[in-house]
Amino acid sequence: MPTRITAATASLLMLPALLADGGTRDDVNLIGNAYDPAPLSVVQILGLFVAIPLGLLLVIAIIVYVRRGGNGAYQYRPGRPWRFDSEWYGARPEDSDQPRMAMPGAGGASGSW
Amino acid sequence: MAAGEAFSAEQRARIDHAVGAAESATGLRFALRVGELDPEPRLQGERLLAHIAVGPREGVVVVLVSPGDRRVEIVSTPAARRRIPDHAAGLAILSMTSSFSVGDLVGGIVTGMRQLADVAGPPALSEVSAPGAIEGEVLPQT
Repeated sequence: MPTRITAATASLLMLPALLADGGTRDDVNLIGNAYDPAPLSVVQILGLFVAIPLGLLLVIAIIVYVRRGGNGAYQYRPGRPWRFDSEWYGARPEDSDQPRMAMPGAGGASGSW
Repeated sequence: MAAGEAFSAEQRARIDHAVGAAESATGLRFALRVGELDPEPRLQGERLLAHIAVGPREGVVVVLVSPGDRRVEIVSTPAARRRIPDHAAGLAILSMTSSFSVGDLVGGIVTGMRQLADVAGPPALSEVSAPGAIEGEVLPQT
């Protein structure tokens, strides 16, 4: 799934380049030559060196967020603290304060990691 | 409390499904608790077991997982112990802790539950005919 998302994003990024025409002789003159390049306007500079890197950063951030699930769930790693209320699944004890008898002959096992 | 949730909705659904599947496959009752443990987890487990099971003849398995203490405890009633021997519970703990040690809490819980259910096997016929007995109800005999 993430691979497909990455591929789709890459194709989207390629789209403007593919759609743009190859350029005419006049466009070539617009950028000047190797010895005398035409100056860039402020908008072009900002676009090239600020907007595009920021855009890429944003795309990567979105991909990372989507891959993580983005659900805000705690990422447990061994050794990290666990400060959540206890959660029960399946059967749960009755909320009675009356003491119950001990369970002789109870079995089980324990372990740590 | 830490910010956010311990588990996502999808993770909770997976755990719920694993516990439910184990219960319906075995006829035993499973209680899973994820949270901090007392200094004496075994005692705590037996106390919780006594508050869940009506008596020693009811098949109940309590699984306590404490990610903070890095400890897991399985406690079973005598009736459940006949179906899940202690060494089999130990094997389930081994596979759970091997997942936990790489940070996969949900995966470890799911495999542990599946393993416990596999060991216990399907319920005996007498238990199938009276499912209400699990809840302590008396069904009319036909």
